[in-house]
Amino acid sequence: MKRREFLSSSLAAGAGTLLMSNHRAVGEAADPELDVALIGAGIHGRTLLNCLLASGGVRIRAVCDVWPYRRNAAVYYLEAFGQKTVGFEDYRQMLDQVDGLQAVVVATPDFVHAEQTLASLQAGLHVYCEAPMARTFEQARAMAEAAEQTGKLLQVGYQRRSSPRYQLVAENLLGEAELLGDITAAGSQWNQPELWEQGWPQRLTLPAADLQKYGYADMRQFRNWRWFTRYSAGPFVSAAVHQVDVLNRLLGTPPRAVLAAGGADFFDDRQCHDHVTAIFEYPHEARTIRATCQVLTTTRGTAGSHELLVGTEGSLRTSDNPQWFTVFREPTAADWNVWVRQGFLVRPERAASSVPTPDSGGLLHVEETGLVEEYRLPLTADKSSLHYHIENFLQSIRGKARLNCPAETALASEAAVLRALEAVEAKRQLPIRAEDA
Amino acid sequence: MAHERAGGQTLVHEAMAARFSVQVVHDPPQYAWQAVCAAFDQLDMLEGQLSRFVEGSDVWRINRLRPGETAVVALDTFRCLALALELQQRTGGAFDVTYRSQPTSLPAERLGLRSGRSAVQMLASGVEVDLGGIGKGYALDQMATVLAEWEVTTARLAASSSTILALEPPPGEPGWLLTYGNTSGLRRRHLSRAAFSGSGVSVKGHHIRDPHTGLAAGRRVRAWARARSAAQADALSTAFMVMSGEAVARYCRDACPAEQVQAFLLEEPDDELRALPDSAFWEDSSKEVL
Repeated sequence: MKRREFLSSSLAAGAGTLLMSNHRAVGEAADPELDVALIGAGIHGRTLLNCLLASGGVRIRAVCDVWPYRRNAAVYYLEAFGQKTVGFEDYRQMLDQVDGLQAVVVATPDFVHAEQTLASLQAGLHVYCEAPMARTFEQARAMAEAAEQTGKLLQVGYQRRSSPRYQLVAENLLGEAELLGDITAAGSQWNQPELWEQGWPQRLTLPAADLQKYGYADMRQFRNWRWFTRYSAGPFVSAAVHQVDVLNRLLGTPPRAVLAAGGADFFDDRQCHDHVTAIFEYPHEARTIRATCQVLTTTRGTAGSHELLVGTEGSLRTSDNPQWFTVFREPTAADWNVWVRQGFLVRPERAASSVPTPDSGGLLHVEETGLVEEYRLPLTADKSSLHYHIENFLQSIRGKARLNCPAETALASEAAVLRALEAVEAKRQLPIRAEDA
Repeated sequence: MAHERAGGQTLVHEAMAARFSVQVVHDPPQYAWQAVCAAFDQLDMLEGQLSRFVEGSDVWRINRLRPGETAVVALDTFRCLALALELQQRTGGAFDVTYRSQPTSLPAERLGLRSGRSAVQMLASGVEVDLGGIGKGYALDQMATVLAEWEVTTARLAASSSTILALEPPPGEPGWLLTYGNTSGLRRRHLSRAAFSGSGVSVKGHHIRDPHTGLAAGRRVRAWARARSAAQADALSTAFMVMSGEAVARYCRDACPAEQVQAFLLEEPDDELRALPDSAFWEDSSKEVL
């Protein structure tokens, strides 16, 4: 169903709020079951497992993790869902020994995304790979090329691509209504809660030889890989790829240059930057839109994470958290009632003016300064963005959908954010080459 | 997040609209700190599954099911819901996580659980699940499981000041000290290997509803429940605000001894505290005014 049809049917039913039903009714024909494996059974891997299980029609045939603690917990967990899952320490053994696999979900540290994704694609499997795609842009590009060469699907975990809220913004508010007028500036902010140092139960310490076999210096780095450049480009890249991808999508183009500053300022025992601020330049017709992009890992997280587009007619704040999602109308903007009637927006409870503004006759109604009108989206999602994104992957394998974030789409965001880290070191603005994207 | 205290350290974390705290005694302290952080990670994950306010949470998804539809949920959600429905039955409906539902269906005929698949089926229309009366206690139990994996055994976990889960007592102590009662007669007790929870109308007003009538529970001003698990203590302290004294006594009597259930009821602010049964785990003869 197209977005407009979807909006119309829901509003015609008098719902007032859009509800996207995702649950199979009793007796409804089931989708063909898919045989899937998970590589990386940490906290995020567990969340992805829950999304896979909730999506239905999936057999989790294998779980791979180098740490027996995580691996065994995942296998035991899956037993409660009636899954017959085999645990593997080495993903290569899993690919060799499990027959009939159709897809793999990769939720491991960034530095092994590329080798695991490439091996899975070459084994003839579809891959869902967590964001960021890889430790380096060259690895990410190799992944996208491998997907193209093998003809297998490679979905990158930018889950906002599957969020109905972001889809409404891209297709209707900006695409059809051009609600903000001329967009003149943009930005994003991610206030991550302070990431505490991850420990581990002492009795479950991995032997040094096992750690070295899989590329880890020691157990502390294994548990805190996000802070070491050997394994990860750091929290800025992990967070900013999602937000730059939102800006790329909403502005309709990738950035062409970036200026950035940052450092490991707050934590003295971590290699990766704990704070980076970048300014991206987006080409926009004959002008330039500048977008600030800031990622902090030193806060309590209460300021949230959100993106902002500023236009001549209004501003739009988007976020994966629905509480932050708001559209502001400039007092001088054309009336938005038409978009309210079309079901794109929900009118603010308090009107800006007590008397309708006359549109002819030269009559001027005088009263106190009006309030900024704060509109909401008429949409309630049934599930998390991640859940939608996993479902999109599974339905694409079944031939019932198209990937919302194929690798070639994600490359532009990967290129921009990794280039921003280079700009931090260079201390000057760097171009983002079109061939990178 | 943490501050040191003699005989241990206390760490706090905000979740589920409450301040969770863990007081822990363990050497080395840094190891205990990391263990508690792992427990807080578990707490955050549970909030994302159990909260009816978090878009996309399991409870959010359940509340949007139409009659006949099924949702596969995380195992913790399933277990918490299964325990809640068991307690609903055992308390005669005084504890009911579907109390916000439209009264067009019987509470026992609203949800179906399919074990072996971790699936919840919606059986009626207008059903709304709210795990607020048991979720924080359930989270404390799961946090304790994480600490046990880390072999950190001497700790006291709390969800605000309403539900406490005591593990092994500090060295040389009979338990973790707590108080309860009214201003004219505070009791001091030591708690270990058990949970204790309180409900009442003195702080937040008449916010507890009698599921049978939909009206504010007005039978008494405060109730406390002691039980082996924090989830059960959390749920029972709410149920005991609604149940008659006879029903509370019957519940405590019929409970399995391993559940360690005991109730303490305060009918009016100045009344004597009533313990049911009066000598099960804590005798009620040593009233101490602080």
